[in-house]
Amino acid sequence: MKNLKYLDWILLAAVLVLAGLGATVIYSASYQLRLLSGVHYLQRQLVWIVLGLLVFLVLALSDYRKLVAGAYFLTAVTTFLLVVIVLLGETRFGARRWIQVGGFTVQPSEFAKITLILMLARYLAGRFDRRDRWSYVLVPCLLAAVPAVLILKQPDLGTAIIFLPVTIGMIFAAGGKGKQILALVLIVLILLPGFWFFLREYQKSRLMVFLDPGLDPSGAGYTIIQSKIAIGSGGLWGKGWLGGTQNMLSFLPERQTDFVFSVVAEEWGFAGCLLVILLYGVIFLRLFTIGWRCREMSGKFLVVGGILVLAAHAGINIGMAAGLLPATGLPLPLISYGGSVTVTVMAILGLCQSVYVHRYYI
Amino acid sequence: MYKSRSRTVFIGFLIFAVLLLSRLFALQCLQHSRYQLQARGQQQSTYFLPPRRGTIYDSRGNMLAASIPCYSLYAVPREIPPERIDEIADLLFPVIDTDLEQIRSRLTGERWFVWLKRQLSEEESERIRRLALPGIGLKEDLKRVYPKGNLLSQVLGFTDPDGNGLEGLEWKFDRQLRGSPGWLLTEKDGARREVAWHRSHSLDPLDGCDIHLTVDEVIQSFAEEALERVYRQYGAAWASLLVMEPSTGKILALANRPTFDPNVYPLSTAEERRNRTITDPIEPGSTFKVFPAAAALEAGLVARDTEFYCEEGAYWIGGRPLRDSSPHGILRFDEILQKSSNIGMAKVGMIMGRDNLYQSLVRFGIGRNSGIELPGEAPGTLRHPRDWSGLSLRSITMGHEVSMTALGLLTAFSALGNGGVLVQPRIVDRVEAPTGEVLYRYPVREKGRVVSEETAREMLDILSQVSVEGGTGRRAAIKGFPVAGKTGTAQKLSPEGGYSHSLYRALYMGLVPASRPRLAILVVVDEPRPEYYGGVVSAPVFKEVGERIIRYLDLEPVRPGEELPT
Repeated sequence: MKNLKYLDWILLAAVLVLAGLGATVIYSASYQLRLLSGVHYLQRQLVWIVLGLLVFLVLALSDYRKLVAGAYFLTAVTTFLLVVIVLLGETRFGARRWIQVGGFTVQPSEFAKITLILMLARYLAGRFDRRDRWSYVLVPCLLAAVPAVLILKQPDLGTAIIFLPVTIGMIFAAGGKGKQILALVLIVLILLPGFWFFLREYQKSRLMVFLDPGLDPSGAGYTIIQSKIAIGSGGLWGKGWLGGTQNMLSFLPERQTDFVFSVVAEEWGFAGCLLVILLYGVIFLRLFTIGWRCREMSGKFLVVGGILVLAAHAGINIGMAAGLLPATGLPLPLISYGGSVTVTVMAILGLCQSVYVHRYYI
Repeated sequence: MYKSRSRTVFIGFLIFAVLLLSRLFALQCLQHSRYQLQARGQQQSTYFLPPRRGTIYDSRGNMLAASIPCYSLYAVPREIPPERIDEIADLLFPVIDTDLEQIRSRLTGERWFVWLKRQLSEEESERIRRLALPGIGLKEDLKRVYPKGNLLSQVLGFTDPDGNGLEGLEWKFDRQLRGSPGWLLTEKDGARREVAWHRSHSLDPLDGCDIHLTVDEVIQSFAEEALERVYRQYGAAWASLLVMEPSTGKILALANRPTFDPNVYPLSTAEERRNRTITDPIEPGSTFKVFPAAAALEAGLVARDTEFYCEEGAYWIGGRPLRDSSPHGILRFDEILQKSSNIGMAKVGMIMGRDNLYQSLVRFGIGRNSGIELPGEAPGTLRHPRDWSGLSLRSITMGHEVSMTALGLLTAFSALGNGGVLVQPRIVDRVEAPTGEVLYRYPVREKGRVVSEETAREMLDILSQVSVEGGTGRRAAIKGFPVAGKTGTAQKLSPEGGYSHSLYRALYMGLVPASRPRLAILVVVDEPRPEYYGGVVSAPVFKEVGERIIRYLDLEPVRPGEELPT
């Protein structure tokens, strides 16, 4: 507990403001759903936030290096869970992503993101002196590929995609040779077209409508079109909380989860979007500072991994809502409704805080 | 190493953030209005609540055109189970008078709405209601009906099934009759359901104004019946009958043949819908002689007993003979009108001179629109003297080389029946709001004096000799009511150029009673066969209609004791 005074309070404050803002948006975004189904999304989200904060505190105050040390074991556990899911997971919306734990359903793919950065931090820090070798670039990729392929099997393209920038970004930050990384990126780009054949029909159509939303305006292109209408009609100052017509009249699908940003944009306008992005900016700036001030390799790499996970989510989610990226179904950290994602994000932030708290250690 | 690499990552983030923000700025600030429009377009739907179209009444409050509630039949093809289309089409077939194939194709498809038949009759809609078919519905609608059928049809015009005035008064007064629609704005949700609780606005419709005409339905029916008879009897190309009140310019009746029934206007031809009385300029022939004659009297250039040598029926001027229908020697000025001598009138015109004649005719409103509130009025033609040929002067005095509509002709003639003051003709008396408040009353509009009161009186006196024994218009005489009238038998312009010797137009116009005219009546019969003289074909129509109107209006006889037989 004595470590509390070493917490990065600015970071925590920014996180709380963003989470509070998210809860407010979720109330509005789920208003109609609550009337229809009686599910109280805001209450649930508040429970998740509190739970997430507990995880955050526990992780922030415990020594991250112990977790890094146990990274391979933790990875083995999540990998096992992912295998279990592929074999006998619960099917919802055509995908198997959940397992039942008590009264809750849990998405192991969310926790795979945490074990990924722990594992890569451990590997990269351990091999830092051999960073000129090809293995420094290739082995992390293979390590990341195992859970990624399992997640892709679920199928959960969005989460699997996250592994790519996180892994490459971590190798880059950890000092992998520039040429080797470039070669890696090139290989990925060459393999990408072949990857097309592994996609499911709905995933292909999502990519197709991303290129041309008018292709199927009432089907696959519907979400993109409605999201753009919501954002565009919001204008500079928005239509006001609970005043978004795209939201309240249920034109916008998935509006409390993947397309929550469209609700922000519709009800709070460009001003609200700017505020959200600025808050993310504060969080990332603080996280980078933590990395820079840490004197130990695994801590540095862990922080950059956490940054990459959060930034990839935020960037892809907002880019997708604004029609810049194809719809892949990723939540917006701290704002989207969802238990697993909220707790995961809090856990990652907790790990980074732990690096900060233990910054004076060698 | 780590610091510089992670800085690169941070800078990458910044670049991406700027990219995102500029995209958001583009969507939210630059293209805002476009997306707002799209949002509204898919969220709101506006229903128009149609107003009731105003009623057209005659001068005594009889309905001539009215909108009555009815039902229209529509289908929502996407709600019709495909396997039942044939069955439903068979059931609807007796009600809809198109072929089965067409009904089937309208019922097929993904459309949300298609009309099957507009404005059903009472029993048809009852039948549909009893069938209770899926995807088939009845919508409240308004049907425009003309209870008197073809009575006054060219004047009234008609509307399309959506209530847009297409012709006649329905077109001309569309704005007043139409009213303004109310609307109901509702919002729809993403599943296209109406969201009643959200935000709805509504505005009640404002019903159209009523129009009251100067036409009297009874007088109009006299006109229609008489005109129908003469049109049939003489196999005429067309015919027109106009009744006006000289002192006010009110049109009491306006009938045309051929005619049509506006209730079923799609079955009519453009010829039948033509309101020739006001749209077709015609050469008035001898009826026109009254205008130069009145002008000459007014100018003091002739007196009633001024004598003219009528050249025994053939007068050579300008290298061509001018002929009378029967040869005359010396005729007095009044006899020239009574016998309708072309030669005599040409000499009257020559005394007047071109400019003098032209100025007087202009005062009568010839060659100009009368200003009636009906669409499509033609002004006719009266050329300026500088454009006249050597023959123009004599032609014009006998009603050639000049053209005017039947309305223009009777309007000018009515000035003589109104003490020499020209009055603008009118057919609309007033426009009333649905509440009964009079919004606009068309006033009597005097357009200036054309001749003095004495000249007018003298002309009426002279013209009343036309309809006595020895006059061309004796068949127009009405017992007890002296008629001041003029016949006309105009040769029609033949398609080959020049005047035809087989195609004529028979005209008669008259004012009754001559001493203080209450009625001005004009009868035009185009291409009557075998008879073609105005005095033979048209004058009896004048008499028939005049007598019936006099009896209907219960006018006091001028010559006591000579009551009309009842």
